[in-house]
This record gives sequence, C-alpha cells and structure tokens, in this order.
Amino acid sequence: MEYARPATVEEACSLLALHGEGARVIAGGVALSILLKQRLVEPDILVDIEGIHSLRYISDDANELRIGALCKHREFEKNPLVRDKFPWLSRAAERIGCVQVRNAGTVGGSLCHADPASDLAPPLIAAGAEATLRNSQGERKVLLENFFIDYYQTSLSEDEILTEIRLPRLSARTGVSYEKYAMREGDMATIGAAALVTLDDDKQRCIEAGIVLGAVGPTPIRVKEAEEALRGRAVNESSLRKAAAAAMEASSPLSDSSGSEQYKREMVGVMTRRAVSRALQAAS
Amino acid sequence: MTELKVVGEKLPRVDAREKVMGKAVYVDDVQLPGVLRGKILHSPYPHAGIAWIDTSPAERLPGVRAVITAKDVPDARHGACYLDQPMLAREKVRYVGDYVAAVAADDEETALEACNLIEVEYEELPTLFDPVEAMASEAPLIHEHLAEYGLLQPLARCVENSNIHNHFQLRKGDVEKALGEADIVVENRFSAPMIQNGYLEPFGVVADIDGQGNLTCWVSTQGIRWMQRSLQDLTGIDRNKIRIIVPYVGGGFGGKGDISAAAICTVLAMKAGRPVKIVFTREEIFLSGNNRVPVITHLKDGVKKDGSLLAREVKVIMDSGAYSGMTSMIVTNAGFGGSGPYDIPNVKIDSYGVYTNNVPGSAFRGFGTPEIEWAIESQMDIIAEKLGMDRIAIRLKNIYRNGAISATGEKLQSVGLEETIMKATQAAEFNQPPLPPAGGKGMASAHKYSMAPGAACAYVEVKIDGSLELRQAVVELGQGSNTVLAQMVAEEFKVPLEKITVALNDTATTPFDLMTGSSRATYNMGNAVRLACEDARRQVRERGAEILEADPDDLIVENGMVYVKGVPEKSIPFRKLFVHGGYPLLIGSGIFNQKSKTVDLETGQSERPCAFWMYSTQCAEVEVDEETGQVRVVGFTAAHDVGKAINPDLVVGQIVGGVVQGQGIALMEKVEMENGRILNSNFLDYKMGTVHETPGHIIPIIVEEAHQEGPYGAKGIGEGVLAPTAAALSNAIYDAVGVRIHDLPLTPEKIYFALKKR
Repeated sequence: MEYARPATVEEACSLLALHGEGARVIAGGVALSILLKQRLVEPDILVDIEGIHSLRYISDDANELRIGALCKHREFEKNPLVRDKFPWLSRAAERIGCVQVRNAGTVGGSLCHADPASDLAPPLIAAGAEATLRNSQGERKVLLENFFIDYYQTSLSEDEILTEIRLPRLSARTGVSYEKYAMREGDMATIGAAALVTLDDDKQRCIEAGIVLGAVGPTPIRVKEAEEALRGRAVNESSLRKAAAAAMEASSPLSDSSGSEQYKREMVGVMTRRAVSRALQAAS
Repeated sequence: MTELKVVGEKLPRVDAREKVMGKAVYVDDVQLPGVLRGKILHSPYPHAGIAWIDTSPAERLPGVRAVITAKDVPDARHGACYLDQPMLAREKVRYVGDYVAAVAADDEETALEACNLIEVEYEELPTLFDPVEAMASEAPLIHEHLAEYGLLQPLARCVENSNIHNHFQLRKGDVEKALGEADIVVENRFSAPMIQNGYLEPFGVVADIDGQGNLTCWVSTQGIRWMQRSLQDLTGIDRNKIRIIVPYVGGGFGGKGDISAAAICTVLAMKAGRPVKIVFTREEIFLSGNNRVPVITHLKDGVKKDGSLLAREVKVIMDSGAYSGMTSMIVTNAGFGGSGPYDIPNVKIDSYGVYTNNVPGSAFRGFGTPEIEWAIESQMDIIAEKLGMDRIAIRLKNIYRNGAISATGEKLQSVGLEETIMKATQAAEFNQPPLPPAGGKGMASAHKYSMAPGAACAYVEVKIDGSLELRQAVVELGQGSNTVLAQMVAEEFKVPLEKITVALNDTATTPFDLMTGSSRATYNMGNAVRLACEDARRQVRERGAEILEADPDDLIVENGMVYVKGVPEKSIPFRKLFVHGGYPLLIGSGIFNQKSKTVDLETGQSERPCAFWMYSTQCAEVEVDEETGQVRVVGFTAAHDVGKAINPDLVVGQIVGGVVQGQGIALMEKVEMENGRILNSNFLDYKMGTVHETPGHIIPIIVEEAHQEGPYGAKGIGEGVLAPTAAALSNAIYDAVGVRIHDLPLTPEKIYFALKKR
C-alpha cells in the first residue's frame, strides 16, 4: 500500500483521479484505521489530506456557518462561534466518541465515512446543511440530505473530496436538538434523532419541522411523515405521539449486541419525542 | 505486637513512577536481535475432524521461517486440572478459534499471510452449545477419552462417558426434610454470561533457545511455575532448562497466560533456530479461551417465617467450552461457599463443569463466587420481600459470625461480615428513601475463599549498604503486590520503604510460588516474606553478636543497624557484618505452606477447605430511566473485611477498581456467541464500563477483622470486591422500579421490556 500526503486540494484531487477506486482518502483515520486493521478495505494508495491546512477553519457570515472539512470534532465542539450561535451542534459534537477520538477525527471524515450512526449527520441534515465537493475540474454543492446513498456510501465521485459544510443561519424562533441513545456514553449511536422546530410569531404553532434519524437504516433518514405531523399544528401530546409513531415506522433497525430490532424501534419513538420536545423548548 | 511503622501506612506504590513515566517494561518491550513474529491459525469450525493439513503453500512464502502443526510437537496435553488441551489440535478441533497450526516469519504481516495459505480439510462433527444439552447422557462426546486424561487436582471427579468433567457435591444435614418443614420454599434460576477478562496489556510471549538448548521465555502470565511445568510437558524440554521471566503484567484478572501459545512460540523458535515473539491482538485474546466461564445457578430455599434459612439447595452449571481450563477447579472451589455467607443447617450443593463446543471459559476475578453470589443475593431480597422482612434484618438473622460452622464443617474465624453490613448500610444511608421518581437502593453481602493448599517462598537478601532485596514470584499485575510485600520487609527490618527493592520475576532467581491468583498473595507470600525476614534477621543478629560480643537474642535490628538492647549508641551498621570475618552473602529464606484438610468427595466436608475467607457488603444506589430502561448508578458503598490493610490506599484502589469493573459486568458485559462463534471480539462491540459509567461517588470502607494466621492479621482483597456487586445493583433496580432480572447483564432492553410487563 502506497501513502501520499498532498499539500493542496488540487494535488489530492489529481492523485484521486490518477488512482481511481484504488485510492482511499484518509484524514483523522478514526474510522478508516479500523477498516484497514480488519482488512475490510485494502486500498492501493492512502491519500492523507490532513496536511491541507486550508481546509481547517470555522467561519460565518450573515447567512451561514462554514466548516472546513478537516476541522477536528473537538475544535468544532469548542469553537465559540458554534457554541454561541449553534449550541445544539456543539452539543451533538460533544457526544462523538471520547475526547481522544474527537481530537483525531474530522467533521468531513466522519461524514464521508457515511456510517449511518454518525452523530453529526442527523442534526446537520435537519438544519438544511449543504456539502461542497471538489475535483480537478471544479466544485459542486449537494444538500447533505442527498449526500448519503447507502451504508458507507456517499454521492462523492472517486476523484472528489468533501471540502466544506455550509449551514444556513436558522430563522427566528427555531430550535434544534439531537438526542442519542447508546449503551455507553461515547459509543456510536444506537439511535440518533434530530429535530428542528420553527414556531410562528405567537409561538403557538409549528411552521417548519425537520426530523432526521441516525443509525436505524442504511443512511440517516429524514422522516417527512413525522415532519407533517408537526408542521402547521400546535405541538402537543397528540402531534408528538404521531411524530414518534411515524419515526418508528420509518426506521429499519437491525438486531445486534446493542439491542434487538424491537427495542431499538421503541427507542426511536422515545428519542424522537425527546428531540422534538427539546427543540420546542429551544424555539420557545 | 510491637508498634507498626510501615505496615498499615498509605505509601505510594513502589512502581508508580516508572509506570507513569512509561518506563515500565512489559513483554512486548523485550527486543531480541533476529526475533521472528509468530502467528496462530485458528479453527473456523466449532467441532470438526482434521482430515489433512497442507502447510507447503505457507512454507514457500518468502520470509516464512517455520510452520508447525500437531505432527511437529509431542503428543501431550496441558490443563489446570485435567490434562485435556493439546497445544495444537491433533485429530479434531473443538471450538471456533482452536489452535490448528502456527507460523514464524520475518514480520507479523508475513506470518499472517502464511497462516491464510495453510490448507486444512475439516470434516464437521455434531456440535453442542448448550451446557444443559451437553450434560444429557445421549449427547455426543467432545472429549472421548476424558476418563483417561491425567488429573492434577485430586478433588475433581468426572462423570464417565459424558461431557461432565467435574461434579462437586456438598451435603450437610437433610435438605429434603428441611424443605418440608419450611414455612416458604423459594425457587429461582439465575445466570451469568461469558465475559472477557478485559485486561489492557494483550498476552505476549518471547521464546529464545540458546546454544545449549536452554529455553528462556519472557511471558505475561499469572502462573509462572504452572507455565514452566506445562512447557516441559508440551515441548519435552527439561524443566531445569526452562527459564521463565515475567516482567510487569498489564492486568490479568485470572486470564493471563496462554500456555498453548507459549508452547507454540517455543516450538517455532526451536524449529526456526531464532527467537520468536507472539503478541495477541484483542480478537485473539477473546479466542484464546481465557474468558470467564458462564454460570447457571438454581436455588431452592426453605425459610421459616422469622426469616431464618432452614435449607438451601444449589445446583450450578458451568459451561467451560471446549477445554476444562481452570473450570474444574472453579466448580469445586466455588462449591465450598456455594450456599453464601449464611449459617444454614441443611445444605445441598451440586456443581458441574461441562464441555461444549463454545469458546472456552476459565478463571476470572472471583473464580465462580461472584456468579453464584449474584444468584444468592438476588434470592435473599426475594425471600425478604415474600416475608415482608427488612433486607438488612434478613441478612443479620442468618450471617456467619466468628465461631460459626460453615457448610463444609469449618469452624470460621476472622468473620467481619456483620461489621461490613453495619458500616456499609450506615454510610450508604440505606434506610433513607431513594431519589424520586425512579431511584432505588440495593445491598448484597458475600464471602470469598482463598484457595489451599499452596506454598509461597521468598528470599530476602541483606545488602552491604543496608538495603534489602526481596526475591519472590508473585506477579505484579497492577494489584500492588510489590509495594505491599516491600512494606512488610521494611517493617520487619524497621527501615524506610525506599531501602527495599523487589527483584524481577525470574525462575532463575526467584523461588517457587503456586500462582498469582485466588487473592492469595498478601496472606501466603506475606507469611513467606515474614519468615524470610525472620531468617535474615537471625543471621544478622548472629553475626552482630560475634562483633558486639553479646547474646544474639539481646540484639535489636533496625534502620540498617544492629545494637544491644538498651545500648543504641553502640550500634554497628550492616556493612560491618559483611566485612568482619569475610561473610559477603546474607540471605534469609522463607517457606510458607498453607495446608488444607482433606475434603470428603461425597459430602464436600472439610474442616479447612481453604486458606481464609474475605467478607463484604456493598450498597448501590441507582436511578432508572423508565422510558428507556437505562440505569444510572448514583453511588456505591463497599465495605470489605481484609483482616488488616497493609497499605490502605492500595486496598481502596482494589475496592474502587472492583466496583467500577463489577458495575460494567453487571450492566453490560457479555461475550455474544452464535453457534460457537464470538460476534463481539473487540472493544468496540464488547461493552465494558468506561469512566462515563463510573458511579457518581464510591465510598470504600475497610473492615479489619484480623486473621490469626495472616501476616499482621491480613487476609486479601482482590477477588472479594466483585462478589456482591451485580446483586447489589440488581436489588437496587428492583427497589427503584419493581423489575427483577434473572440473567446478567442488566441491560436497558431487559429492564425496558420487564417494565412494560410490570
């Protein structure tokens, strides 16, 4: 196995174009090193992009938050800008692994690994985040919601890398929350549930809703039926119950050592309710 | 007794600095020139005949220096009790992971690749994964020649033509009659799954053979002499040519020391003519068969209305998997205390060790006791509730006290159980209501034996500069034995702890010790160390007497000086003892041999089946999330009777560490197996408690009910800590939400669905 450490995005993209499917991008290596050790992936060349310092930033302007793909989870979690204006996102980042993992893993690496149990994907999708993908020819933008295709598969082409995540500034009276169920703090999510709720001027009715589940299907799952159950209505016990039921229905968890399918489905309901309730609190 | 100066003091560990600095040496740090890496090929089948093996594709791979199968090694087997395990599978494999062949190559990658090139033709055989099915008389045999195997432990009895390798029975009084006379009879079944010992340092071994055919083996093991003996049996090398060196060991919990792998490493080194190193991956540790044996416990108790236990019938089934390992011994030893720390007039215990085609289970901190105590202490709360009795009161009504006659007929001494109950429940404010809305409190008491018979030996060398070197073979695996034993030497010579060095564990220089296990080091080696110090002090006094022209019995030895009692101003330093008359060597030796009394195989009766008993009571406080079934452990109080704390800080370390470990075991740990194949052989999928799950607070309490034969009254601590933990937690969960789980671990899912049925 060869190893390359390009210093620029251009250099990285041309290496990827040259080696095609034999190349794998590595950043923090938190996820990929496990796959390499278990020999689940055996690339011809590892393209280590951690040396591309231009991809390590967090900035914002009037309309959006911009996160460089090589931002470490820990930086993201601790960033004053994120903590101040997107506290829900900072809290979601806090739930990723342990401090050592968060110091090694990158935001972009986690998303490109496309483990459906990612803690960042559900809240980012719920809040309408967009990914910037680049290759030698140029760049394109894709809604994060459409970025994930299947287990560990994204819409990235062989010669593309993810360079940036852009998160639109949320409208007023909007709350977002991410709830995670795992047997241990620091584990991958057994269930992830993110909710976004925007209330009307009187804070009576929900005018916009986003419900996204993690870890209970091949990709993060946006549950439109659950959103419908909330949108245009007062959020009360009845709409909460409907949203939770829709989320349970939309989920397709697998039995494993973290729990049976049946239990996990029940927990999808519990986590969805909790996420919506907390988003509602934050919006109020 | 004279005033103690070093024993009983909270002194820093003697190995703290080098461990914190990362300078402590472990097996993987041993670097020899030209060393090869060894890898083992594991069986993919749970039970299959081996038709043929073709190693030639592996031998042709560049960088491969040796490939071995069973035909390259003597037809011999090893075991702690039954000699039932070959180092490499011979006619057949008995579990998924069984050792089939091995390779030594220039590097680990090549060795692994070569293993994958070895071709093996298997013929699948009928499999057994359920120990109850395996006990049935018509079950296929996993070891056809069980009755012919060599037996190292006289207390084990197999059932011929079956998969039962040990059936221990204990009979006291008349259980049938007493059950008929009881006001209530309570019957329940509990189980504890296979778990992994989960130590940090993976098992490792380096084997090197010199020009004279002498083997030197650096190995991470808890059983040095057992390892040496087994290597002789398996490889044919004379024992006097086998030198075992054990540097620091990074945790063991009863599961450190893979004998087959050490023998394989040795044979690879013989064949390759170069030193070989094997270091397991985490996955290989799970496969190596040093996991905790799973245990099923049936209890049937007859109780009077006033809460007194009239009769207890116990049936224990231990699934040892493909080989008996230490399980045969666990069956017997855990059987001695299998009715719990209670004075019950009628007791009947039957415990069984059973072969299956599961990955082998063996010893783990507690050696069967925590798994049985988990059942007994759950049962005690069930009984208390049925009788409407207080949970503390029912225990106080029945517990062992000094002078009680145990289930085996032993007159008990040093029973600090009542004090642990009183102190733990008081510190835990057990009678105060728990936190609303779903808080709960639980308690459990336990006892744990330490094995006998067994010898421990020590040398104490007095050095010319007044310092002392202790040579002994208890393995320092994190428990703090080097510190505790050094404190004893310092105490005996009345010198500061800094004057003591503890030698590297090496069969060439350190004398016999049975093993590092059964919480036996402080008591057994402590006694040996005191005897060695007494012997050395005698020699110091005799030499001093010549110089001082006094009676040796009138001399005082302290602070590296000798003087006539009452005349300290005329003291002489140790240096003079060596210079005067030319005696350049001064070594004291001590042999402590803890004997046991014969055990009647029909009744399990013995007046002294073990060395001593440790007693404990723990109280847990939990909060249950009723929507998810998740348990948060708010606090833990753990009171342990250790006889005498040689170093209270280290005892506290054992208690706190044990509570944290025990909590993870109770709430989440389980080796998941499907048709004999382990599904979670890594620390991502195998869940152990982490710092996040540590209880909000832990209150450790040391109780010191001195043991007449213990050094300074000391007994032990290591394994006792785990004994009550699972039941204390389960009882707290019941107190919180009225849900009783019978099968460990106490996962959120089990609690959630039990809550739905409530």
